[in-house]
Amino acid sequence: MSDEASFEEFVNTRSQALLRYGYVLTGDPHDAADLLQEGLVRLRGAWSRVENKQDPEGYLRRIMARCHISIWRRRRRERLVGEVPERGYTDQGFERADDAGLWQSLATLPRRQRAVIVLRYHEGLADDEIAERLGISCGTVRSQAFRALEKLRAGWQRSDDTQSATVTGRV
Amino acid sequence: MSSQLEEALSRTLTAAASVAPEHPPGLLQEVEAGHRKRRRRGYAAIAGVAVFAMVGGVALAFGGLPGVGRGPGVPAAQGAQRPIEEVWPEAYHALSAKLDDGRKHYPELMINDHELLVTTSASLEVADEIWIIDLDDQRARRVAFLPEPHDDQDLYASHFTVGSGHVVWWDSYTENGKPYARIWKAPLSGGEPTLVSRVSGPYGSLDDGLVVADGTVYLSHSRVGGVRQVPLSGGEATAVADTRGYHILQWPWVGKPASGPLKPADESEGGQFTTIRNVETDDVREAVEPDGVRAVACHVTYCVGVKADPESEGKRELGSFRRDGSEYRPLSARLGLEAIPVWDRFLVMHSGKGFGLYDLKTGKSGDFGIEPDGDGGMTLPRTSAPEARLMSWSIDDGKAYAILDLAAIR
Repeated sequence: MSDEASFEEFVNTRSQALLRYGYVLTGDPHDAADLLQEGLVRLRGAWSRVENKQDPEGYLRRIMARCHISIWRRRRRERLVGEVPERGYTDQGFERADDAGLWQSLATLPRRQRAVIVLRYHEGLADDEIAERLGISCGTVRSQAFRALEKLRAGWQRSDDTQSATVTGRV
Repeated sequence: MSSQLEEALSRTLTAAASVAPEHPPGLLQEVEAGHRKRRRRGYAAIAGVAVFAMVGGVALAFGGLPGVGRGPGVPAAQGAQRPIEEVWPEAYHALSAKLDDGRKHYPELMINDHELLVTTSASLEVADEIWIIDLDDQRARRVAFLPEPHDDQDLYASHFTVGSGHVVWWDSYTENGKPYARIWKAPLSGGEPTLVSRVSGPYGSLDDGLVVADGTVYLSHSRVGGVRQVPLSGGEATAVADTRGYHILQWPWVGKPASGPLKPADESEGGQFTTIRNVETDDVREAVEPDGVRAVACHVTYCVGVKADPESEGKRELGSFRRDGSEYRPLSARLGLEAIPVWDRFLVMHSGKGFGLYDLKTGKSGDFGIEPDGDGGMTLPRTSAPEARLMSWSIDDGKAYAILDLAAIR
């Protein structure tokens, strides 16, 4: 199979899954599409080398994660957020109302913290695998996860407490 | 999954992924078009192309990215940067990654112009011993065994710093649901670690500032800021006057907003450390942004900012300038690490094939020589904090470290 044909097959079979990955990384459908496209363009340039490694998807996921936490996208994101308010997702997909709140809280995390959380709790990666994927040290992974969880916990517990109080009448 | 929050996170992310949008039609065609365009423009596959920019009269070869404006200059071949060890031989050391007993060590900081403090690990990221290696003769001596981790340890020994004849570090743990940080010290001459203080805080995290000066430990909290002090001899931590919201940058300079976990509200207020204050003299300095430039991050002397590229909508130019707004210089590369200049004068940038170090003071640049492995991954050069004078990275397939003492660069 030629490079072009095998790359096309890869895109056709994996892009939807990769877009989902981009979506949980970014929390924004437009950013997710941009991130996937940027990653695929880079992957295309490296395809002949990467394909032989049997794991082009791992390579692309790494590119997407690193690209997402780079400063350029972070600055751009601020501009986008300033112009386009975050969309609410409380009406779809979530089993519980507090999960929707958690999704919104994730949007307040710095990008690197969010990436660590996504890789740990969505991708199921171990900390050393996260470190490798993001190109940071294991200690940084741990401290970023620690901070992110503390921040999420603060908001989540408040929401949880409120809900409990409403349901049971306890404070 | 160890907590309800973690279970909820997994559930939430799975649910969100299920409502992700469909990928746009024509994705493959757009990708192929983007690929051809970059190939024509000479972009390398992974990290972008090396371009020359005349910065301060010195040619730089750094990678560029689409969407990132370039400084003035002409394209040039990759690999034009000289290796760091050739650019700054006076500051470069190569060092075995193992101690004589065969254990791997991890460089933490330079304690003077020839001694390097390192730690060894009992397991991944769990430091268990502190050693000092003399770079002149590469002999090592053990300084201390670290205390056993707490039963409910959150973060293991971190942020080693030295001063007043001691090495100081902190760790954190949770007890009865409350987070605490512990500050420890051990004499550099060798000896048992002793507890300096235990501090409680909203999250028990101190990791944006811990310094020792004149027999006092100063610390700031990464989330809420505010500088506290405690005698190195031990005692309760007390607040340093008028430092609410400030974070330690380079003692005695404190600043805001800080590095670390910025809240969106902080980001809208401006770049990191745009306001700094000298705790000893009360001198306050604000970053002056050159026309059209927005400060991203500053150290005491130098800042990094972005400037809208008037010739291309949506593109931005990365540049450096002095805190007083003078000497704006475009940088034609992506930042490789933090935007805050390390040791108040250096930036790690993506280069054509890996990473380069750029000296804002002299305009010199050197290549780390770090190349992607077979899968395109690479290990980044390491620096513990903006105030740290050490950069280290693996060489020789991980068998050795390159040590760069930034303070030795004139």
